[in-house]
Amino acid sequence: MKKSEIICGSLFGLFSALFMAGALAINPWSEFSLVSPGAYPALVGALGVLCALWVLFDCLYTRFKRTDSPDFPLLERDVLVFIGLMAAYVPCMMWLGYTLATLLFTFFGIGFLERKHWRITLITAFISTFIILLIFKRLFGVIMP
Amino acid sequence: MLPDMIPDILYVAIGVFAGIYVGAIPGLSVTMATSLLIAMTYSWETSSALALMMGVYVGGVYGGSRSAVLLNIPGAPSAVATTFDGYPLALKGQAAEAIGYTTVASVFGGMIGLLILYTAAPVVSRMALMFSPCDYFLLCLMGLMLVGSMGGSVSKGLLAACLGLMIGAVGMDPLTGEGRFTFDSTYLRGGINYVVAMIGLFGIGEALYQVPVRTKPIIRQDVSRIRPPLKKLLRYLPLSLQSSIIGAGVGALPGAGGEIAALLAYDTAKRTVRNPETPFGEGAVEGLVAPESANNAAIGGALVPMLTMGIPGDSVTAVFIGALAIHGLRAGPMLMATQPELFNMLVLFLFLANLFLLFLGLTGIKLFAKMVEMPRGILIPLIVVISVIGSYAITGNVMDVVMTLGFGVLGYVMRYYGYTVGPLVLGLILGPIIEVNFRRAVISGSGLEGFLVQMFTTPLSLVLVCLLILMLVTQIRRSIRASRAA
Repeated sequence: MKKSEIICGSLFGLFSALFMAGALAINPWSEFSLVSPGAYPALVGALGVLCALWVLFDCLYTRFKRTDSPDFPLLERDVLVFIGLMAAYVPCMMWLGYTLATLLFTFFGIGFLERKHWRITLITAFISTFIILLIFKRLFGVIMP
Repeated sequence: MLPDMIPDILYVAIGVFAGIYVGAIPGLSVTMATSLLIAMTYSWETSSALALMMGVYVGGVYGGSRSAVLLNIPGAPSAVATTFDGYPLALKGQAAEAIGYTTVASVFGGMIGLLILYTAAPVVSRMALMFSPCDYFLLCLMGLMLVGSMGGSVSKGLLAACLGLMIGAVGMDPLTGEGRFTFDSTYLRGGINYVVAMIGLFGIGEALYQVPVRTKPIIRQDVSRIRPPLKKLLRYLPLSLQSSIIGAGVGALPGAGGEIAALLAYDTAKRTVRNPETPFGEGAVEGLVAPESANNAAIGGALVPMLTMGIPGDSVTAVFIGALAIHGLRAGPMLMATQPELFNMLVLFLFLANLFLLFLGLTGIKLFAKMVEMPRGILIPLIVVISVIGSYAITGNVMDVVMTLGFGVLGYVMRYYGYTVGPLVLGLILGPIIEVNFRRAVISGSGLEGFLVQMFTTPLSLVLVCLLILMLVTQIRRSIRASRAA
């Protein structure tokens, strides 16, 4: 865990450095550039690099406690599958419309996470989609995709 | 007189009730609700329109705390600080009691804000006008120093805040209109909406984190105790008063709003409350009372510059100015001089709205609390669906939904590695304000030198600099102490 935290801190630091470089490319640095569009992002990027160094310093010099880490891996299989379901939900929303896409997402989502009989899952998906539509579409008049 | 007012009183009650439920749903903002009301009420009597809008305003600000406590999704930006201790309380089975405390604290804060509006409106508005861009810049930097109060390590909090500042810098340059990190995308030119980020980081991030632990036993909610005991309420009264004063003061600063007020009050509570029953961040009632008192007190504060100078204190009061204009009224000093009855009427509506909140805020709590008891396998997809529709409702753009899901994954990764997502949201909210005021201050000081001279010679700036240094030292000391303890 400590190793992956160091990697995470390093990635944040790298991102900040790239951000700073990108900001400096917007406007070349000069003595009057403090009010230029690139100056503030460059300062923030620099601050990000410093903070990432502080985090790395903390990671290296603070004793790691086992209780600090969750008892499952970051890329846990169920999490990845659920992220996949979410990723599929957005294009489905555009192609099939919000109602049908939501019904499918809740059906597969609940089915995957709860693993109950498919009929119970379908009824739950129907009821929840209906309630959500009732609240958002009818009551609040939100325009659905 | 009173029979004539009965319809308006009813409108206030309806507004509060509707506001609570609008505010509780992530993505449906109070600003959006009041904007819709302008179109709906433009043919109404001015008093009736204002009564309904005031009700929605008060109810909506409070309503944001419900989803913050129950689902860890702040219904409104001003409820971000409520999640820190509200959600841990729900995880302990005390969601109903937590909502009870937020209701009473909100009403108390609202009443203090009202009192300040009524008694000190001219003085507070004059004080708010004294704030220069340099002072706003320092005030927002002080806001950034709150990251240490949001739980987790100070270094990780600051890094998350920096990430928020970076994301906040994406889009058109606020002064010149030049694109920054937009990659020629029209969507990114408009910048990243912090509500979208907030829904993703808190809502989807939490849902993803719950996926691997969904089989853990569900915590039964104790709904037998909703109304907080009087003895305890009296104990939290000084804290509520302190937070309300902070809330009304910050609310009176144009552009500051309830979110900064709530975070500042939370941080102050963390510093001033000695030996809380439960540590902050683990379900301390003090951590609920402080932000909830402050964000509702900020309503009274935000009305001060609106009524006395015609300057909106927050986005909702900006909509109020529009509503007054539709009814042929112009907010500002002339309104106070020529139509004092309108000022009194608004104060009365605010008072009534807070009174109704006390009763209506305690309704439906059992039903809401039971939501947390739902099997996680059902609750997780529903959180995603609500978050998706909430983010879509903001602008009606599917890209907002994609961003929400992206922020959700980021929130999950951050939480996994022990980064709290609150500082990121704080950075996103404060970033644009910091930048604009920094650059304005540099321009008004004719360069960096003039800006620094202004910072150390103006009394108000000097006070803020001293407070900022004090906060910085405290944060560093806290970090060192935490490292030693580990």
